Amino acid sequence: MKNKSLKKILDLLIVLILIITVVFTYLDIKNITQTLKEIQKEKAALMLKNNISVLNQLLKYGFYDELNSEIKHIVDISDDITGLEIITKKKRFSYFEKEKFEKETKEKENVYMYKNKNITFKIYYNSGKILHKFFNKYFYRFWIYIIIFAPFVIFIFVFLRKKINEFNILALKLEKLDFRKVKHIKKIDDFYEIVNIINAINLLLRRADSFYKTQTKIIKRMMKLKRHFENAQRIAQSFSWEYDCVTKEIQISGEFKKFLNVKNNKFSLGEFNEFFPNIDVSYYLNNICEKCLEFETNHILTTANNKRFNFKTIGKCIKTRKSHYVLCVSLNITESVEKQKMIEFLAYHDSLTGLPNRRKLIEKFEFLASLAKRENKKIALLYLDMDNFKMINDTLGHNAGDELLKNIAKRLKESIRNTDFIARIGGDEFVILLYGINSKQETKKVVKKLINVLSKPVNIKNNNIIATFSIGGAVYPDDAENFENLLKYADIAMYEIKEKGKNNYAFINENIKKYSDNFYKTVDELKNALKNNELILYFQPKIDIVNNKIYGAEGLIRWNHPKKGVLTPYHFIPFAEKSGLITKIDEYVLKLAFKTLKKWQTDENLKYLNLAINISANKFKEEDFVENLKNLLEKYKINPSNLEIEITETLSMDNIEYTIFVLRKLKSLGFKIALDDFGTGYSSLNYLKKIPFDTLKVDQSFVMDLENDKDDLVITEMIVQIAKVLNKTTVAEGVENEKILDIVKGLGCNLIQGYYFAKPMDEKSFVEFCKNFPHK
Amino acid sequence: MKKLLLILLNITFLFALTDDLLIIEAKLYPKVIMLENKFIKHPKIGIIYNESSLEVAKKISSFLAHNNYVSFLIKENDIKEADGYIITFKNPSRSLITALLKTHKLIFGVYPESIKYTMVSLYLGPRVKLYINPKLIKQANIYINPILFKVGRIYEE
Repeated sequence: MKNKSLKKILDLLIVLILIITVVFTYLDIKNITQTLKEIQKEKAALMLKNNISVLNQLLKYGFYDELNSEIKHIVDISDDITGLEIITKKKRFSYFEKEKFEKETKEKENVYMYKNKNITFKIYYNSGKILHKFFNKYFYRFWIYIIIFAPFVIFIFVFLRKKINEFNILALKLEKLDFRKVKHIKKIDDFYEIVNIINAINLLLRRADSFYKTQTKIIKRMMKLKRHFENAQRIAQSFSWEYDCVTKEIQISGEFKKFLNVKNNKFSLGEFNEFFPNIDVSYYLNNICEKCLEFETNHILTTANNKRFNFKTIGKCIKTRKSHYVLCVSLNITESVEKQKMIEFLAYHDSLTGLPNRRKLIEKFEFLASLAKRENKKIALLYLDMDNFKMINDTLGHNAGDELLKNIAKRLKESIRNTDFIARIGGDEFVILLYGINSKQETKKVVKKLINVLSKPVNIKNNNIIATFSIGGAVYPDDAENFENLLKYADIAMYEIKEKGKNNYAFINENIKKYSDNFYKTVDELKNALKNNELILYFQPKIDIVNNKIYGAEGLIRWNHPKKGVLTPYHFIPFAEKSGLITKIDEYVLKLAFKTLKKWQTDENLKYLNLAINISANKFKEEDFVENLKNLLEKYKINPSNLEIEITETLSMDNIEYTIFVLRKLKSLGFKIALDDFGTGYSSLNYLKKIPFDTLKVDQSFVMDLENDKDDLVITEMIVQIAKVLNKTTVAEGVENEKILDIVKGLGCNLIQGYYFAKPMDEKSFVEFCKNFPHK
Repeated sequence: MKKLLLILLNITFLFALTDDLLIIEAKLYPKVIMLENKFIKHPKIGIIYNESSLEVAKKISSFLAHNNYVSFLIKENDIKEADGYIITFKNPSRSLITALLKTHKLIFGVYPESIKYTMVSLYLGPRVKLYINPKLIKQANIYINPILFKVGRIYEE
């Protein structure tokens, strides 16, 4: 039986029960029959035994009639005894009841024989009757049982078959069930077990559904991740592949297959090696496998259609009980390599002209210098700065300027020798290194040739532009032995030309070098001075001539030089302005002013004093200028109205809108504003009206000649009148004698500053001056 | 062995004739007669006595009468026709037995030990036992109901 089936088993069981029943019945009947026959036999034997003594007596004493009668009686009284026969040597007595004596009686098994000496007793019995009677009852009961039990058995059989059939129907349903659509199986029966199974199946279906949904989600997510991964691989040009250390086969990802433009995704080492022109992959991978290492390498990869790429491959050997392989990720770094090259190029080159930049220039110079030193040769450094390039940019636009620069770069490149070197180090600044020159004369020839080349017009946007250059030169090792100094000297020489009218060339000479050395030395010393607090404030009193008292002072910077003593601004401010240190100095002076005012304002005798300080144009234009003042104000907490910020008239008119904006902020913080050197600039009265200032300082150039120069007198008078009209205070600077004092007094000036009253002095002296001033 | 038993029985019987035995015999002997002959409904029983056994004869006669059986006393030398005979004394003569055998009727003995001369006698011990003398029955050529062989004990000399 290949397929076990309960239905078949049930059928078989029923057949088996029937067979067993039949066999059992047959054996039972047979056994009963046998038993009944035995009983009959025993009965006959008993009958004989019961009567044998009588029969013997009758026989012994010759009562033959009585014997026959007794034999007949014995046969008659028993239904089952069919005959009795007594055989002696001489006689035979018998009686057989014909009706009862049937054929079967004669058979051996239906005769009981007993021998007593010479007498043989044979008693015949008939078992048919009793059997008939028994079987009548037996079959009667049998049929009753059949009638009672057969429907029951048939019912159970049919019932079980039906139930088993329902299981089969259920199985068929389940077989055809699409668990993605069907979530529930209807009840097919009310029996607990079947309901239980259906419930279990429904639970299973729900779980399967849940599992399916989860799996679907996971698969979707995995597919998404796969797509994402593939897209990421494609976008990032990052491909995965595996090398099986055992089978020596390489399996690549789908994206890698597409990238390599091949049909298969499995390769032997030899086949795979062809994609790597510059490394022996076989050797590499086998070595990795053997030592089970991690690796990272940059290499070239060639696709099937002969395209070359730069790749970085990172791999790791993975060895488990079941597998031994190298998992690799190859990253296309072609773009990155090219960018790197580009970055490297840009790091050493100018993006506009493609010429080497300052860094490359330094490297090149170092190289050439070492070479020149060895070969005992010289290098000329030419510093070229285009004249009026700003004007070209402003008039024709930056694109035109760029075009011009490119054109110039091209010309310069074409003009120099192979051994020479050209670099662009600034907007319109080029440097040329001429290697192996013998003298400045030789260099001058080259320079002239360059000027000649550069002086040819360039057509840009239908404009013929003639670019002129100021060229400064210095020679290694004659002028300087390092690049920095050599460039500095060439630059200084070039500035000399600029100052002398441009479009020419000059080489550094001893005078220029001297000035330059002094300049750089002073700047260095100034830097140290700032660190060491060598810069101090001197105070020149301002006298209120109306009220005849000290109004305050103008703070004037002095450098307490450790070797040269106290230096006036004339000795260092130009250097500071040129080097850019001026803003640092302004910052420093502001701090000094705040500190001083703080000190004065805590002294009852000095707290009325006002302090004015000068602010350079550069500092004034700094974005955080106002913020710095605000911070200082918060830090020192002085009365801001005692601090007067002096800006020059020229500065204020430079960018009038911005100036007004900044000054308004300063005013809002509480500071006073003074316009210094008034009269030297070109102030518009209209703007002057808008500028939120408090004081006008008449420049000392007008005041000093008031007694001799009528023009100065008129100008000063006008300035004072303007101040009066605008309701501002006037300060006359440079009052050196009484006559001038009388004039400015007469003009209506409020405040006087000058040697007549006092020269600038240190703080201690100023305080003393204030204390001793006669008309406080 | 049987003989010895009988001797012992005889000795015992000598002193065993009681009214109880007679009463039983009076009840039983008529029934044996009726069993022998189905046509006899009211057997007439002849009680044979001698001088020594008259009292016994009378007693048994009265007991038979008490059981509604007809009986009459017969002297040992004056045999009369009856359906059966009961000898009331021991050791009856040979001639009496011969004469009685010729009547072809059943002969009963009152004493158990008289079975040697009678066809049927009764012994009363722990159990009542009926003794049959088949030899005499055969000599009298009487058809005897075989049932007696079942219920009685066979006497053999």
